[in-house]
Amino acid sequence: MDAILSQLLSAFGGLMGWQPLLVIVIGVTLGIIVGAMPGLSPSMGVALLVPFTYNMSPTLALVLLVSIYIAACYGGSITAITINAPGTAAAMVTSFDGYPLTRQGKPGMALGVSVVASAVAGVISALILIFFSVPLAAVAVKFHPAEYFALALFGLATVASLAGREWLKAFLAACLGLALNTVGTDPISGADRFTFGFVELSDGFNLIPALIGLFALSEVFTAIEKRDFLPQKLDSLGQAWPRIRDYWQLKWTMLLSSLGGTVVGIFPGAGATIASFLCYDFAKRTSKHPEEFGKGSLQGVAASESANSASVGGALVPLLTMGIPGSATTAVLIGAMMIHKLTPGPQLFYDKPHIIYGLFAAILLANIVMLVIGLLGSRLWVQVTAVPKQPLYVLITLMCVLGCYSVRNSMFDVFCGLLFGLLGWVMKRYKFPVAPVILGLVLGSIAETNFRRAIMMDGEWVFLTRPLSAILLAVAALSFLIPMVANMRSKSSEN
Amino acid sequence: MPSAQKRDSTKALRRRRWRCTLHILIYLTTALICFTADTLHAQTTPEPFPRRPIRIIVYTGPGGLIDFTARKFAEVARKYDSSQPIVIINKPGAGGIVAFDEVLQQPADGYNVLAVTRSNITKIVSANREDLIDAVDWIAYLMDNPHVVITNTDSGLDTWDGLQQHSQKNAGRQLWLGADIGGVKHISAINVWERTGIKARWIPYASGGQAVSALLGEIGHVYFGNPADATGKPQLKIVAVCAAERMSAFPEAPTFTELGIPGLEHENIWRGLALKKGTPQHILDWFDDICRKVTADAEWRDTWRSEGITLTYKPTAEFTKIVEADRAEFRTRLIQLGLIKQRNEEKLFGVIHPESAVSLTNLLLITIFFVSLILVVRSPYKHHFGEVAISAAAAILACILLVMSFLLPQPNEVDRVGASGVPRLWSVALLLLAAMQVVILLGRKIGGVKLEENIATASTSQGLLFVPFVLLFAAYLGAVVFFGYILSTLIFLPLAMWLIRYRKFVTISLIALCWLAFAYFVFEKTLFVDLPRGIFAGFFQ
Repeated sequence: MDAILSQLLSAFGGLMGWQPLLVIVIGVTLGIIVGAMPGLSPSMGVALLVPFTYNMSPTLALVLLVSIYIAACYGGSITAITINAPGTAAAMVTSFDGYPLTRQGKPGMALGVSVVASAVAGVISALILIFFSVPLAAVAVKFHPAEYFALALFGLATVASLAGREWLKAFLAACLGLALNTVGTDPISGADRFTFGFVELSDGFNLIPALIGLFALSEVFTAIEKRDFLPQKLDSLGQAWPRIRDYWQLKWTMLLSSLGGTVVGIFPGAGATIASFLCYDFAKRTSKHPEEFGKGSLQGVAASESANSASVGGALVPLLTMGIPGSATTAVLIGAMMIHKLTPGPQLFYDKPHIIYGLFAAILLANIVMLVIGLLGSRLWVQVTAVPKQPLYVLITLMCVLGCYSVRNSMFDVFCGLLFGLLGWVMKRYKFPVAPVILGLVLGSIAETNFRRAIMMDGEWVFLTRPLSAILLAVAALSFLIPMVANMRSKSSEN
Repeated sequence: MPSAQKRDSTKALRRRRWRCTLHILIYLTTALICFTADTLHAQTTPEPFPRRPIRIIVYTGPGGLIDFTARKFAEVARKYDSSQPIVIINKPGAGGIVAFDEVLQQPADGYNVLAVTRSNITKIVSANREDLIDAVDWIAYLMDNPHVVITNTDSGLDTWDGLQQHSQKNAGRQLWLGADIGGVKHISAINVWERTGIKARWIPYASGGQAVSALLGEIGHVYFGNPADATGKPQLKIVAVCAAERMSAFPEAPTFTELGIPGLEHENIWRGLALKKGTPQHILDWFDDICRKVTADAEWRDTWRSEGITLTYKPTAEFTKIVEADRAEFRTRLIQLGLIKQRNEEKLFGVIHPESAVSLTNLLLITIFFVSLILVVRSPYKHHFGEVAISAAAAILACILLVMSFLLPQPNEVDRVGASGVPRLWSVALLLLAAMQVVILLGRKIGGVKLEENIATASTSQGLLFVPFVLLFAAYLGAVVFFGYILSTLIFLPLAMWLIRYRKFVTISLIALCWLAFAYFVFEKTLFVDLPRGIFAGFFQ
């Protein structure tokens, strides 16, 4: 422990020059922009910056790329809150409460909480990464496909409590997402499924166009239908920003979601979206005011943002300790490390500790820089909501087009975005929730591949014979049943 | 007096309309001038090569080994010809078929290069798109690395012999973790199994990283793939290499030949470049020259030294031979695996092809959907029209997937769920939920709940805005495909604003200009997002 601390302190000393600080500021700023734009993913942001790091020292290069990664995960929440266009899939959960707050004239509250929650979670997950990464990684690799399957079901079960009384519609939406997820090449057998002859569909529906369509475009369509053209009235700025007390009230939510987010982030392939959903669901179940969730609860914003920002630290655990990329962005980071002749893994801790601890120190520092830039920037972002609505709608539409397009440079995805937009519009019009569709699209393939992989490896009974998987499945079943029973009870008592 | 006032106001209205038309005309003329200037610029681009940035199209997202190879190639190549930048464009999709199609749509002028790997060949063959192999020149074979057998020493398996004994003891239950079924690694593994008599199961993972992670957790016995995946993990050991000689980066790892198993020397993955057929000779010569220089470059060699990669430049003739051999091998293997779709000539009940039967059923289902909608509109339940329609659509989708799942490959003894199992499960769930929803709706009091009254009144009192907006939007997307992003956006933006009653001409023009500048400089120039240029742009080049 002492050794870690002294290494960390000397690393902080190394970062105190103008060059590393400038690199962090640039990285964080770029990351926020990349994250905020729907369609530009953190992995793309990091990949685009890799060529600029060729002439930097390995430490500096990693500091820049990790700063972008961290900030991009936060940046997704900005557009989720202000215009209901989540920049990343994980930020979708933030929009559940963030956007209603904007509609109530309190975007500042949501933006403030989101940046503080992100920074706090970033620091907490970095501390976990620094002190506990080795044992955590050792546990994570032991996860059998059966357990991944149980984890995915656990994620799906959140639909039951998220939906409340409209649980039937929510499950219908989730099943729609799951069914749409089966379109494309079957990940196990390689057979083409339901592609109707479209080559572009052979990788299935891309998540980002679905996200942009269901959330952002459908919102524009609904607003145009309702002729909602009057500019948003903002509360006077003094009232609209959270006070220290507001943040303090969220301390447990932030802490627990940070822990949860880090842990889920560690599992290769699970990712930030599941982390956000699970922590949001947990926060709702344990909250004193669960009825506020989905209508503008600061707790909801804090839970989701802490979880998805904390998952960054989690994803770095298997990357640094074992050289395993758990997410798309960490895969790009491995490539960047290769360019700089660094082989991530336990050996790196012995050979080049200054790089590892420099990176740890940079993560802590980047979160603080992100807090400052985020809070300053939020004053700017708030103004977006005061822009006259008509041009704003057209610009959001154009942003959606670029966003869908830039994922794979493909017009096909833009058309998919339009279709999902119409789907979202019609669903919202008749009070079907759209988020479960995305949840189904995200979790469908994790559930299916791991289900089949588990059976191929150890037969059908493996789900019950492995204790962890059995426990997780039981918890998933409970978290599915309890809200349903509670709902039915409240309904029957009303009648 | 009121009539004079009225006349004045109509005059003012007419004047305003005239001014509006004038503004639109000015706007459109400017737009057209921009477009023609753009295409003329493209038209006057003559030889020699390169006069524009060269684009390397990578068939994966950022972060894969081929993406990294392309980026490093671009960087090293600039040392030898820095007249134009080389940019990397990621066009993922269908294991490379999307990238191939993209390059083949462009003229054969050398500005669109495909970064290719051996994986492309399996995907192309299994998708029955072998025309793509013939449509390009395989201009440069740059490198290859052998497939290797990696084990986790913690599990007690640390030699090839040990692995073979383990396989015999566990009779077909040894687990080999790797990439997709029918991919290069899977086919190589089958070749290894055939030569060595090993009986094992192939467990596919979405990425090498996830498979290695499972090996580290001792969830499987073997990882079969790239040697680089073993680096930095002390408990992993390469126990056999598919190569003629030992790799310099892993000198302690024995080859199969040394282990007394010949014939596996070419089980590898190669990476290289391809151009559309018909590219002029002097451009091919330019690429030949640059590839030779890059292959000899010290920095390039240094990059790959620790990865177990062999750098050998092979020009078109040699490369094409390798591709042809791979194509033949993969075709045979993929037919054995049942992964090449062959039309089922057997008729259902001796009457109709299964495919046609499924199409007919789908048609019938869609008809039922529309008929039921009409019935609902005419029934007392029309207030629930929207909800019923959504549920019915979901139910029909579920039925269509259910019916189509019968065309999918059936489960086998290893993959006991099969490609059709999970889609059927979701479809049945969707069908049940949709049916429940409809039953609940129909059980409600008729006309009890009137949905969204405010929307209905708003739409009828002021005319419908939503439908024209969506139509305009769809037309815009169509226009982008044909006329390119810049021109279409220039026209769509003011039209859309005008449609939703925003009529400040100067502001609109400013917004349009700022947006296009943003899209061009930020997306096209900085982020290398390849904005659509329209299919007509190709004719001018």
